[in-house]
Amino acid sequence: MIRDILPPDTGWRREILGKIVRVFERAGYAEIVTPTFEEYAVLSAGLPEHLQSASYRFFDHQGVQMVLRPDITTQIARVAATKLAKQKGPLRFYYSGDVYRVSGLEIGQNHQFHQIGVELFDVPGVSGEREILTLAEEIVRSVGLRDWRIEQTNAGKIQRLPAKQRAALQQQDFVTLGRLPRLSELLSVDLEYYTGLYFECFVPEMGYILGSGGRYDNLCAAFGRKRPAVGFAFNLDKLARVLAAQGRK
Amino acid sequence: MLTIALSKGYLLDTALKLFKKIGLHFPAADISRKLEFMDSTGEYRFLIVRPVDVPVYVEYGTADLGIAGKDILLEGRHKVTELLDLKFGFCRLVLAARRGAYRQDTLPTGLRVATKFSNSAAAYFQKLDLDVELIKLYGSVELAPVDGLSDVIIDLVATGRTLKENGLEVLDEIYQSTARLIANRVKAKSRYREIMALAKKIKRVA
Repeated sequence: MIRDILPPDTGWRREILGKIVRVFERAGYAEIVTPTFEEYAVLSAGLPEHLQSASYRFFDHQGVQMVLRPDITTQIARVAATKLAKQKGPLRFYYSGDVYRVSGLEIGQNHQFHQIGVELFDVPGVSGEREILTLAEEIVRSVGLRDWRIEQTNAGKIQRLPAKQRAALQQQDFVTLGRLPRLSELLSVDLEYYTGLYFECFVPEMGYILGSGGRYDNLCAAFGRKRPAVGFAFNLDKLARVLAAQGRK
Repeated sequence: MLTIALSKGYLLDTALKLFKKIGLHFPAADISRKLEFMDSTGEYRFLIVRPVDVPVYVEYGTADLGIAGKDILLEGRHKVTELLDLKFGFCRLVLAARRGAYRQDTLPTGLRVATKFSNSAAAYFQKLDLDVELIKLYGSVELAPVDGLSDVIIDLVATGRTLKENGLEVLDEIYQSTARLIANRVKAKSRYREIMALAKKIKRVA
């Protein structure tokens, strides 16, 4: 769906964004702005398969293939591995912007939707993960979401499973696995991206997730410099819809 | 309360029998004509929808759970969690043609293929590296090669009787299918305990 956002929804979204940004800034995260479109050959080095095929691409006036960003994390990883390669970590960034994906990837997904999130570089292991999880919890509290849940799993562990089991788990096919799932196995992890912790935030009454995140230590390496990284993003459109449904408007 | 989507049609009775086996009771009133009804405890609500729509209701979370054929899950590529093989509703997706007309290993390019299962058919011929013309039909697919609408068909068969009656023969089997218990991907997490308790009960009797 492509749509216009009109008042009073615009004001309502602005209010939610304002609350989230205040939490980010208090936690020491600085805003980063990346381009809406950029050269496909550059960004695709770090884009997982499913985002490559879901991206809008076009040629610029010189015949260079460009991509409308389907994801902002990949762009920030590019910056951290190139322009800021020499800057000593930890680096803390937040972003707020629209991303573009062809439909059908997820239900309730518009072609253009707003992501707001953070990336933390150079804090490896549990301490980085704890910081990010705490921040995600602070976000859902700050916007007044009710009955929220954050469930986590270990993508790194899934990566090490035999190929057939890994594929079945990614398709959520427990018939092939021959047993009923454990709770942590119900998180559909994108294994091209995540290397360790992976978590999802949702509310019981909605059939889709509101935000997700985790550790992605290999993404920066795709752009030339290995840097441990962990982060998350919330989908503003879905967050606004759920908050409205919960009567928080 | 859990909402469960079931397929209208000949699989409905088998599905309901399964729920009766785990101790659910349904009010005597004629449930076969209702599109929505509850069990006697009010803990389970059932939606009766077209078979292809079951995974749609589940994917969107309108139903927490559903019973759908593997054929429909493979064709629709819905993002749902597949919990159990219920082992009923067995059928096969096959490539078929008029008796003696073709052989699977010498299929010509440009073949006209009539099917309800366009995605599965496209994937099958892509694997064979064969360019074909797909014709999407919504029913009576067996008629297409008989009346010259298509050269071959890709269709579901249970016993194979309909094929035989129309002078058709199976050239290849694409996959086998049975009914599956599926769950919405978020509900499977947010209502994990309830859903797993029900799935375990069903697993024991399926």
